[in-house]
Amino acid sequence: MRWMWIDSIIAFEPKARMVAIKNVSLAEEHLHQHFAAEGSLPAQPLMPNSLILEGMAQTAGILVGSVNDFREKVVLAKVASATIDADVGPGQTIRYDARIERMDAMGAATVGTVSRFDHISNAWTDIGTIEMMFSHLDQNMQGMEFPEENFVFGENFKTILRNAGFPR
Amino acid sequence: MHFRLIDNVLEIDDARAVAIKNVTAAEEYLQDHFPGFPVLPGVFMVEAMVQAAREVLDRRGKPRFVLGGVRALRYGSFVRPGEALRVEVTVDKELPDGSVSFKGSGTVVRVGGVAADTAVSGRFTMRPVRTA
Repeated sequence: MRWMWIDSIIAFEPKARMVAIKNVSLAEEHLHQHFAAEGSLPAQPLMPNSLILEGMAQTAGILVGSVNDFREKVVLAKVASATIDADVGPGQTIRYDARIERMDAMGAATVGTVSRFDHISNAWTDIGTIEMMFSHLDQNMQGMEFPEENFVFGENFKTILRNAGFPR
Repeated sequence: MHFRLIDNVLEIDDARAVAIKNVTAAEEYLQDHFPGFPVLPGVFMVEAMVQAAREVLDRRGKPRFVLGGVRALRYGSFVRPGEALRVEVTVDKELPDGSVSFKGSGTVVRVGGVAADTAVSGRFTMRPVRTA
Protein backbone atom coordinates (compact mmCIF):
# COMPACT_ATOMS: atom_id res chain seq x y z
CA MET A 1 0.00 0.00 0.00
CA ARG A 2 1.24 3.46 -0.90
CA TRP A 3 0.25 6.50 1.10
CA MET A 4 -1.75 8.65 -1.32
CA TRP A 5 -5.33 9.05 -0.24
CA ILE A 6 -6.52 11.70 -2.69
CA ASP A 7 -6.47 11.33 -6.48
CA SER A 8 -6.95 14.89 -7.64
CA ILE A 9 -7.65 18.40 -6.48
CA ILE A 10 -10.80 19.81 -8.09
CA ALA A 11 -11.08 23.26 -6.49
CA PHE A 12 -8.72 25.63 -4.72
CA GLU A 13 -9.26 29.05 -3.14
CA PRO A 14 -5.85 30.22 -1.83
CA LYS A 15 -5.60 30.42 1.99
CA ALA A 16 -9.25 29.39 2.31
CA ARG A 17 -10.52 26.18 0.72
CA MET A 18 -9.41 23.05 -1.10
CA VAL A 19 -11.57 20.29 -2.59
CA ALA A 20 -10.16 16.88 -3.57
CA ILE A 21 -11.60 13.56 -4.70
CA LYS A 22 -10.67 9.93 -4.30
CA ASN A 23 -12.04 7.07 -6.36
CA VAL A 24 -12.64 3.83 -4.49
CA SER A 25 -11.88 0.70 -6.53
CA LEU A 26 -11.84 -3.07 -6.11
CA ALA A 27 -8.28 -2.91 -7.48
CA GLU A 28 -7.23 -1.61 -4.06
CA GLU A 29 -5.92 -4.57 -2.16
CA HIS A 30 -6.98 -3.52 1.32
CA LEU A 31 -10.68 -3.47 0.35
CA HIS A 32 -10.56 -7.25 0.05
CA GLN A 33 -9.66 -7.57 3.71
CA HIS A 34 -12.05 -4.86 4.85
CA PHE A 35 -14.06 -7.02 4.90
CA ALA A 36 -13.26 -10.55 3.73
CA ALA A 37 -15.87 -13.30 3.95
CA GLU A 38 -15.85 -14.82 7.41
CA GLY A 39 -18.11 -17.54 8.78
CA SER A 40 -21.67 -16.71 7.75
CA LEU A 41 -20.77 -13.13 6.76
CA PRO A 42 -20.14 -12.56 3.03
CA ALA A 43 -17.28 -10.39 1.78
CA GLN A 44 -18.11 -6.69 2.04
CA PRO A 45 -15.48 -4.38 0.50
CA LEU A 46 -15.59 -0.93 2.13
CA MET A 47 -13.21 2.01 2.35
CA PRO A 48 -11.86 1.99 5.93
CA ASN A 49 -13.10 5.11 7.70
CA SER A 50 -9.69 5.71 9.27
CA LEU A 51 -8.45 6.26 5.71
CA ILE A 52 -11.29 8.74 5.11
CA LEU A 53 -9.78 10.68 8.02
CA GLU A 54 -6.46 10.50 6.14
CA GLY A 55 -8.03 11.74 2.89
CA MET A 56 -9.31 14.79 4.74
CA ALA A 57 -5.94 15.21 6.48
CA GLN A 58 -4.16 15.20 3.10
CA THR A 59 -6.63 17.66 1.52
CA ALA A 60 -6.63 20.04 4.49
CA GLY A 61 -2.88 19.53 5.03
CA ILE A 62 -2.05 20.57 1.45
CA LEU A 63 -4.33 23.59 1.87
CA VAL A 64 -2.54 24.58 5.10
CA GLY A 65 0.88 23.90 3.53
CA SER A 66 0.08 26.02 0.49
CA VAL A 67 -0.39 29.13 2.67
CA ASN A 68 3.37 29.22 3.39
CA ASP A 69 4.41 27.86 -0.04
CA PHE A 70 5.04 24.40 1.50
CA ARG A 71 7.94 25.64 3.65
CA GLU A 72 6.38 24.34 6.89
CA LYS A 73 6.23 20.65 7.80
CA VAL A 74 2.49 20.32 8.38
CA VAL A 75 1.44 17.32 10.49
CA LEU A 76 -1.88 16.23 11.95
CA ALA A 77 -1.97 17.11 15.67
CA LYS A 78 -5.59 16.55 16.64
CA VAL A 79 -8.90 15.27 15.32
CA ALA A 80 -11.18 17.59 17.27
CA SER A 81 -14.26 15.80 15.99
CA ALA A 82 -15.29 13.55 13.16
CA THR A 83 -18.52 11.87 12.16
CA ILE A 84 -18.81 9.45 9.26
CA ASP A 85 -22.43 8.41 9.03
CA ALA A 86 -22.31 6.17 5.96
CA ASP A 87 -19.78 3.87 4.31
CA VAL A 88 -18.16 4.02 0.88
CA GLY A 89 -17.63 1.09 -1.45
CA PRO A 90 -16.04 0.27 -4.83
CA GLY A 91 -17.30 2.33 -7.77
CA GLN A 92 -18.02 5.28 -5.53
CA THR A 93 -16.06 8.52 -5.19
CA ILE A 94 -15.24 10.46 -2.03
CA ARG A 95 -15.05 14.26 -2.04
CA TYR A 96 -13.16 16.16 0.67
CA ASP A 97 -14.13 19.84 0.94
CA ALA A 98 -11.76 21.48 3.45
CA ARG A 99 -11.67 25.06 4.79
CA ILE A 100 -9.24 26.84 7.10
CA GLU A 101 -10.94 28.08 10.27
CA ARG A 102 -7.91 29.61 12.04
CA MET A 103 -4.22 29.80 11.28
CA ASP A 104 -1.12 31.23 12.97
CA ALA A 105 2.64 30.57 13.10
CA MET A 106 2.14 27.37 15.14
CA GLY A 107 -0.43 25.70 12.92
CA ALA A 108 -4.03 25.71 11.72
CA ALA A 109 -7.55 24.49 12.44
CA THR A 110 -9.64 23.17 9.57
CA VAL A 111 -13.19 21.97 9.05
CA GLY A 112 -14.35 19.82 6.18
CA THR A 113 -17.26 17.97 4.67
CA VAL A 114 -17.03 14.44 3.31
CA SER A 115 -19.38 13.50 0.47
CA ARG A 116 -19.96 10.33 -1.54
CA PHE A 117 -20.77 10.07 -5.25
CA ASP A 118 -22.56 7.04 -6.61
CA HIS A 119 -22.69 6.33 -10.36
CA ILE A 120 -25.98 4.46 -9.98
CA SER A 121 -27.89 7.32 -8.35
CA ASN A 122 -25.61 9.84 -10.17
CA ALA A 123 -25.71 12.03 -7.07
CA TRP A 124 -23.54 13.33 -4.23
CA THR A 125 -24.55 12.71 -0.62
CA ASP A 126 -22.89 14.34 2.39
CA ILE A 127 -21.75 11.59 4.75
CA GLY A 128 -19.59 13.32 7.34
CA THR A 129 -17.86 16.30 8.93
CA ILE A 130 -14.25 16.38 10.15
CA GLU A 131 -12.54 19.06 12.26
CA MET A 132 -8.76 18.84 12.51
CA MET A 133 -5.77 20.72 13.95
CA PHE A 134 -2.44 20.78 12.16
CA SER A 135 0.91 21.63 13.68
CA HIS A 136 3.90 23.27 12.01
CA LEU A 137 6.41 20.67 13.21
CA ASP A 138 9.51 22.86 13.38
CA GLN A 139 7.66 25.46 15.49
CA ASN A 140 6.28 22.96 18.02
CA MET A 141 8.91 20.34 18.72
CA GLN A 142 11.82 22.38 20.08
CA GLY A 143 14.81 20.25 20.88
CA MET A 144 13.93 17.57 18.35
CA GLU A 145 15.94 17.33 15.17
CA PHE A 146 14.11 16.81 11.89
CA PRO A 147 15.52 16.42 8.40
CA GLU A 148 16.06 19.75 6.63
CA GLU A 149 14.12 18.52 3.59
CA ASN A 150 10.36 19.02 3.87
CA PHE A 151 9.51 15.30 3.92
CA VAL A 152 5.81 15.99 4.51
CA PHE A 153 5.33 17.34 0.99
CA GLY A 154 7.34 14.71 -0.86
CA GLU A 155 7.30 13.49 -4.45
CA ASN A 156 3.77 12.02 -4.21
CA PHE A 157 2.29 15.32 -3.20
CA LYS A 158 4.27 17.15 -5.84
CA THR A 159 2.67 14.81 -8.39
CA ILE A 160 -0.83 15.56 -7.13
CA LEU A 161 -0.06 19.28 -7.03
CA ARG A 162 1.40 19.29 -10.56
CA ASN A 163 -1.67 17.47 -11.85
CA ALA A 164 -3.81 20.12 -10.23
CA GLY A 165 -1.83 22.89 -11.90
CA PHE A 166 0.34 24.00 -8.94
CA PRO A 167 2.14 26.27 -8.42
CA ARG A 168 -0.61 28.72 -9.29
CA MET B 1 -0.84 -4.96 2.05
CA HIS B 2 -2.75 -6.83 4.67
CA PHE B 3 -5.12 -4.43 6.34
CA ARG B 4 -4.27 -5.74 9.78
CA LEU B 5 -3.15 -3.05 12.20
CA ILE B 6 -2.80 -5.17 15.31
CA ASP B 7 -0.25 -7.99 15.61
CA ASN B 8 -0.98 -9.35 19.08
CA VAL B 9 -3.93 -9.06 21.44
CA LEU B 10 -2.39 -9.02 24.92
CA GLU B 11 -5.54 -8.67 27.01
CA ILE B 12 -9.19 -9.01 26.09
CA ASP B 13 -12.58 -9.17 27.77
CA ASP B 14 -16.10 -7.87 27.01
CA ALA B 15 -15.19 -4.30 27.95
CA ARG B 16 -11.52 -3.79 27.14
CA ALA B 17 -8.64 -4.86 24.93
CA VAL B 18 -4.91 -4.23 24.83
CA ALA B 19 -3.08 -4.89 21.57
CA ILE B 20 0.28 -4.34 19.91
CA LYS B 21 1.09 -2.99 16.45
CA ASN B 22 4.73 -3.56 15.60
CA VAL B 23 6.13 -0.97 13.21
CA THR B 24 8.72 -2.21 10.73
CA ALA B 25 10.61 -0.61 7.86
CA ALA B 26 9.36 -3.51 5.68
CA GLU B 27 5.91 -1.86 5.53
CA GLU B 28 5.57 -0.23 2.14
CA TYR B 29 3.50 2.84 3.12
CA LEU B 30 6.28 4.03 5.42
CA GLN B 31 8.28 4.98 2.30
CA ASP B 32 5.63 7.60 1.62
CA HIS B 33 4.95 8.56 5.22
CA PHE B 34 7.35 10.17 5.13
CA PRO B 35 10.23 9.97 2.64
CA GLY B 36 13.37 9.95 4.82
CA PHE B 37 11.29 10.15 8.02
CA PRO B 38 9.25 6.94 8.39
CA VAL B 39 6.63 7.08 11.16
CA LEU B 40 3.35 5.23 11.73
CA PRO B 41 0.58 7.43 10.24
CA GLY B 42 -1.71 8.88 12.90
CA VAL B 43 -4.80 7.47 11.24
CA PHE B 44 -3.26 3.98 11.50
CA MET B 45 -3.07 4.55 15.26
CA VAL B 46 -6.83 5.13 15.00
CA GLU B 47 -7.21 2.00 12.85
CA ALA B 48 -5.26 -0.06 15.43
CA MET B 49 -7.72 1.15 18.10
CA VAL B 50 -10.66 0.38 15.77
CA GLN B 51 -9.40 -3.17 15.19
CA ALA B 52 -8.82 -3.70 18.93
CA ALA B 53 -12.36 -2.40 19.58
CA ARG B 54 -13.68 -4.81 16.94
CA GLU B 55 -12.17 -7.70 18.93
CA VAL B 56 -14.17 -6.54 21.97
CA LEU B 57 -17.35 -6.05 19.90
CA ASP B 58 -17.05 -9.54 18.38
CA ARG B 59 -17.26 -10.90 21.92
CA ARG B 60 -20.38 -8.78 22.54
CA GLY B 61 -22.13 -10.26 19.49
CA LYS B 62 -21.58 -7.15 17.36
CA PRO B 63 -19.39 -8.27 14.47
CA ARG B 64 -18.00 -6.07 11.72
CA PHE B 65 -18.63 -2.67 13.28
CA VAL B 66 -16.87 0.32 11.68
CA LEU B 67 -15.57 3.68 12.87
CA GLY B 68 -18.48 6.13 13.03
CA GLY B 69 -16.92 9.06 14.85
CA VAL B 70 -13.95 10.50 16.70
CA ARG B 71 -13.82 13.08 19.49
CA ALA B 72 -10.93 15.00 21.06
CA LEU B 73 -8.23 12.78 19.61
CA ARG B 74 -4.73 14.12 20.27
CA TYR B 75 -1.42 12.96 18.92
CA GLY B 76 1.83 12.94 20.88
CA SER B 77 5.01 11.00 20.10
CA PHE B 78 5.79 9.50 16.73
CA VAL B 79 6.13 5.70 16.46
CA ARG B 80 9.14 4.67 14.35
CA PRO B 81 10.30 1.40 12.76
CA GLY B 82 11.66 -0.88 15.49
CA GLU B 83 9.14 0.53 17.96
CA ALA B 84 5.61 -0.66 18.66
CA LEU B 85 2.31 1.01 19.40
CA ARG B 86 0.47 -0.47 22.40
CA VAL B 87 -3.21 0.44 22.18
CA GLU B 88 -5.74 0.12 24.97
CA VAL B 89 -9.46 0.53 24.28
CA THR B 90 -12.27 0.49 26.83
CA VAL B 91 -16.01 0.48 26.23
CA ASP B 92 -17.56 3.75 27.38
CA LYS B 93 -21.22 3.04 26.64
CA GLU B 94 -23.70 1.44 24.27
CA LEU B 95 -25.77 4.10 22.57
CA PRO B 96 -29.53 3.90 21.79
CA ASP B 97 -28.86 3.40 18.04
CA GLY B 98 -26.78 0.30 18.74
CA SER B 99 -23.40 1.94 18.28
CA VAL B 100 -20.77 1.73 21.02
CA SER B 101 -18.47 4.50 22.25
CA PHE B 102 -14.92 3.79 23.40
CA LYS B 103 -12.03 5.50 25.14
CA GLY B 104 -8.72 4.74 23.51
CA SER B 105 -5.05 5.45 23.95
CA GLY B 106 -1.76 4.34 22.53
CA THR B 107 1.76 4.40 23.92
CA VAL B 108 5.14 3.89 22.28
CA VAL B 109 6.82 0.65 23.33
CA ARG B 110 10.48 -0.13 22.76
CA VAL B 111 12.17 -3.51 23.14
CA GLY B 112 13.32 -3.78 26.73
CA GLY B 113 10.27 -1.86 27.86
CA VAL B 114 11.94 1.53 28.12
CA ALA B 115 9.71 4.61 28.04
CA ALA B 116 6.01 4.80 27.45
CA ASP B 117 5.35 8.07 25.70
CA THR B 118 1.75 8.73 24.72
CA ALA B 119 1.31 8.55 20.96
CA VAL B 120 -2.46 9.03 20.82
CA SER B 121 -5.49 9.42 23.05
CA GLY B 122 -9.13 10.18 22.50
CA ARG B 123 -12.64 8.87 22.14
CA PHE B 124 -14.30 7.13 19.23
CA THR B 125 -17.55 5.44 18.28
CA MET B 126 -18.09 2.14 16.48
CA ARG B 127 -21.33 1.59 14.53
CA PRO B 128 -22.84 -1.01 12.20
CA VAL B 129 -22.04 -0.73 8.48
CA ARG B 130 -24.37 1.67 6.62
CA THR B 131 -24.12 1.52 2.85
CA ALA B 132 -27.39 3.32 2.05
